[in-house]
Amino acid sequence: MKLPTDKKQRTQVLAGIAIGAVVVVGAAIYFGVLPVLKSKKEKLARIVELQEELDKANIEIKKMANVIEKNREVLTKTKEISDKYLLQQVLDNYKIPATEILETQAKKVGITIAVKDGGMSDVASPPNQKATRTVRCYTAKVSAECGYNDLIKLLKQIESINPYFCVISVTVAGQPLQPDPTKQLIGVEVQWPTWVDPGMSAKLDSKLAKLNEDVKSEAKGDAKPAKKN
Amino acid sequence: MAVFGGGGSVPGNIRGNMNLRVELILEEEKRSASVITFKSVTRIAVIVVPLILALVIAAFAYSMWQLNSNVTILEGKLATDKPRKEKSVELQSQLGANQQVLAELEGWQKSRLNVSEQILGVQQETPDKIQLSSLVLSQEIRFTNGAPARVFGMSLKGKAVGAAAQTHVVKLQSQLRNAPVFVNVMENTRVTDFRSVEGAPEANKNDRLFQINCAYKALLFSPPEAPRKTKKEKEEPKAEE
Repeated sequence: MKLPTDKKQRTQVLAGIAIGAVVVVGAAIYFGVLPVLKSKKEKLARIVELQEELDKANIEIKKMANVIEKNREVLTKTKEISDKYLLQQVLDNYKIPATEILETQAKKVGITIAVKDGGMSDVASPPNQKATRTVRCYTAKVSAECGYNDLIKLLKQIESINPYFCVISVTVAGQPLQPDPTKQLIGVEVQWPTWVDPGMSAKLDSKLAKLNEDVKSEAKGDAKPAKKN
Repeated sequence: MAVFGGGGSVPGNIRGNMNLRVELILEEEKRSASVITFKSVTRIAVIVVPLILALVIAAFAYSMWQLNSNVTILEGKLATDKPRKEKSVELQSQLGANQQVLAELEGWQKSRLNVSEQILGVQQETPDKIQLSSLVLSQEIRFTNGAPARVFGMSLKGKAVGAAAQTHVVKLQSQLRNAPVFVNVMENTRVTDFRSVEGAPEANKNDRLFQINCAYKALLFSPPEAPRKTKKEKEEPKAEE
């Protein structure tokens, strides 16, 4: 296409071409380049965000093995204490096993005792707090007629077999009309800790089993090669 | 056709060489001898500029494709790691709860008073001139800084015989505080009653009835909770690091 020979017309044509070019380039930048640049910025921000999340995830994942092991230790110890030292119900009754334990120990020191039910009780919380307790206690009331030395033997015997068992009350009273010092009136209250939830022991077993599964699945997860995307 | 010459008519009497140049090409048809012309630059530009543009666009498209690819890879990795991270956080929460249960349980052992030892200690520390008539040991639950604790109390009643009855009672009171079996667990001891025996015969006029009350130190089930730090206090150690 030839430009007009007339200078004025030529100038007008060139100006028109220049304006057209500016408009086209401007439109291309506004509708083409800017959105793409915006999209690139968003993608870069997204990558930074994803990387941060991955770093946080890695920190938590690295702790996992240690946490599983600590959990296992704590649960194993709790289960051991539960099985060995906490009073377990027999036929929905705590007096039955308590009486059996106390009478067995009394027999060993040669004393005859009578056991009464002292009931269940909770360790209270302060008035302004409401603590969730998992342990409560059963109290048994023991009465006997024996000497002071026999009382000491009985208490020593009971306390030695269970470090969680607690004597909370002792009453020793001489009988005015009974001069024999081996016939003193003895009253003892003893407490065992026990679970608030009677099914706690089974729950501990199930938690330990689940932990073992977590250990296995974690080991499998570490052994798998990384997937390529 | 342009004719260029000496111009005008030639005088008859002057004869010489006269060069004539005939221009057969119009001014506007003349070509420039220069290599760089507007047309050549335009032709080159028409090829080169789109080529450069195409390269720039291709490079940009490639970088966008790479970004998209990176995002996809990272999202895939996060999809795999997120459940494990959540599992780890859940296990940590469970560990906290399990440790609390164990601590509560162990509190029963820590708060226990070895009563057989105390009863034996009373027997061993009671002077010969004292006859105990009753011993009552009891426990109550109290709160120390919001933490529950067992607090034991012991009451001894008896009779001290002889002229040195008071001395014997004071000695017993002191031993109940300072003897090895009591020193770490006993808070204080007090003689709350000391009187003569009513209707006692003359030979026993110096005999005295007494009562000693003993208060034990509180035995916590668990240590009291540490006071919660404010946000400022938490940030200060970090600033020091």
